[in-house]
Amino acid sequence: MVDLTERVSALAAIYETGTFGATVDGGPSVAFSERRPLSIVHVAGKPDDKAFSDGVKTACGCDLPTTPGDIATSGDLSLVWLAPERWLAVCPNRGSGVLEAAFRDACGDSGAIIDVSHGRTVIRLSGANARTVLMKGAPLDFHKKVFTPGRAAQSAISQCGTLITCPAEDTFDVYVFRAFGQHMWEWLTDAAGEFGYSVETPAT
Amino acid sequence: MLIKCPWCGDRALQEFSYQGDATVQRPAEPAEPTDAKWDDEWYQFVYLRDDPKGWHDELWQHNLGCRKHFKARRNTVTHEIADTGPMNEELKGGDK
Ligand SMILES: [Zn+2]
Repeated sequence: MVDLTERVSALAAIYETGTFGATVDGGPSVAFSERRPLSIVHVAGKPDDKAFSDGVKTACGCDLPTTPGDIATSGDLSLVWLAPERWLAVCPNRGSGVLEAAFRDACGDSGAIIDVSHGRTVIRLSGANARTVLMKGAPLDFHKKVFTPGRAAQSAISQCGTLITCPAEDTFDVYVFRAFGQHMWEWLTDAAGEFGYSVETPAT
Repeated sequence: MLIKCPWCGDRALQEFSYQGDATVQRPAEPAEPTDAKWDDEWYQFVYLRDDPKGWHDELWQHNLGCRKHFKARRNTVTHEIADTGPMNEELKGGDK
């Protein structure tokens, strides 16, 4: 009997750890990994509604970031600004439905809370040329002084809508709909080929 | 070409889509639904658009970004955008 509740990565069929692409002095300058398993919850509500903003704080421990593109963090959880009334909460997997329930319990009817953990593929790129790889794909300002740790932007890479976050220096997470996961993985690793890249074991 | 999303700031044109004329007004309900004048107003509201040369107030959507709809005052000859803003705010600039 197949366990249909088991989480299977969209990249499972093509994921291979190792070193790939061009051989360059100093070794590969981009490292890829899939971030999984994660809990990802889409949170929508009015930021000036106290029931909602207090509920979010109770559920995840941080205040709603209201500056476009900002990320708030609390422990291992990030709350990413997506739009004036929409955010994405992301953390290592807390178990089926657990993070969603925390938001629903705390926000009540003041927010619209949707668990999208199964619906996203998250690809992490890090290293000296991670920024350069993304610059080939998305028409965003990736200058080191603009796209800094704690910032995020939604845009498109190879026609696919993406959310790109910068959790740390020279580290970027690319979120796509699960169905675009393989395509995005192949596009990004192909773009990194000229620098040489490594593929690491998936981690949260 | 860059368009200034009222929330996300300057972004590439390819993240946006044009959503139509921002100046058309939905006709008011008539007393009688069979009112012929109302039919004509609805026909104009749904199908007929001006094709102005110069400044024009338009609806755009930042569909590959924050997905919000907003208004833009664009010059249809030069493609210059004088102002963008949320749906409930008046635009400034251009020669309007
Ligand atoms: Zn925007």
